[in-house]
Amino acid sequence: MMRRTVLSLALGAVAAVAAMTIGSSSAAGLVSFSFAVYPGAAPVLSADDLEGLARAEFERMAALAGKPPTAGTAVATAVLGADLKEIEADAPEFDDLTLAPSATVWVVRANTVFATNRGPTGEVLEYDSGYLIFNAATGTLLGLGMP
Amino acid sequence: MGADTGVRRKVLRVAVAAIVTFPLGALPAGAACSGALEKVTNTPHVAATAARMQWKGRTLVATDTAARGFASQVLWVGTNGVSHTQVWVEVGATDGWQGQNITTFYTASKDSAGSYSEALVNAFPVQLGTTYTFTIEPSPTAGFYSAKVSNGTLTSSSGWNNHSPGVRDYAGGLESTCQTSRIDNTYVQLNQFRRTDNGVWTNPAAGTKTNLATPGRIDWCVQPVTFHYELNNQILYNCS
Repeated sequence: MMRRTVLSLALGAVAAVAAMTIGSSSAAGLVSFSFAVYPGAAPVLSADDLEGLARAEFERMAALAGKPPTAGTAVATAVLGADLKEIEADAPEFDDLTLAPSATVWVVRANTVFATNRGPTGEVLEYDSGYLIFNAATGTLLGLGMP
Repeated sequence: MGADTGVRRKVLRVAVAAIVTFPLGALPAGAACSGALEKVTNTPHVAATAARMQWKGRTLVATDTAARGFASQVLWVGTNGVSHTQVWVEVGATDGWQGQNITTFYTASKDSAGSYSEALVNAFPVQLGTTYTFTIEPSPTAGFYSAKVSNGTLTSSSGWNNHSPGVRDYAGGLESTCQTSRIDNTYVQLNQFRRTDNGVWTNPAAGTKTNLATPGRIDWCVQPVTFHYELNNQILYNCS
């Protein structure tokens, strides 16, 4: 009832070309980050704050998998909720009250340890890449996917 | 999104039974948790595409939220004609969300390619005593399954790609990552699947209980349609 219409891939391709890279950072032995903002997106959460939240989540997932955090790369993209699937085609379809189409999210795609312990078997599922979706105003982790 | 992308290993959680003697909220630093899973699984006797259940909101207290732990009440629905333990969509209420100590609704999915995803659902809060309906069903859009939560007034609809119709089985119950957590006795008032040949919601004809937690219990209220379950229950264990 409250699902949004998914924008066409053609529109996403245009937006991708127009995305603006705003910087990068790295820490020895950890995941290095690069950042970009899509047209129309207006993240309140700074790149530094986002990186801190993402690193904390990476550490929690690595601990869940029983491993030390691994080195890797992360690409953080600020994008409107309406354009989320231009960044991650299989991202969840959120209801509009959880994520308004006009709201901005940070999507962090990384190749490092991803893990979850939800599921009907009680097992830990582990992957070597995935993405995180943060509310770019509050920092709330709205979702994740792997790989 | 191919099935051969990356390393996908399943690591069985280490079972540690000794921690169940600690009181709620008093798990010692560094102590390991073991999971708890109590569910009733139904296998429809006719071809089905969807399932739903109604349950009453009860106290959820996870003692390990900082470590990505949770205490949840969940509906799991198998898609693609295989068991809900292989390819599924789930929707539920959880205390503990991605390391945060919050109580919220959520949905998750593991698709036929092996990809796994989770999403927050916070259109309205989880409230004690309110009866909620969880529904997981295919949408008119091919390959898309909806995960819905209704509080009787509002319905939140989220969803997932890469799921084909065909429900071989589904299950409802509790899941927790730590046996010191608490899920108060809750009564599933309605537990149904939707027949593919007529679209009618039908009560299940059979159900199987799974009990994987010493401090938890699951039992029938009206066998096999309704059941109740709890983990470290602190209220009367009944069907109301």
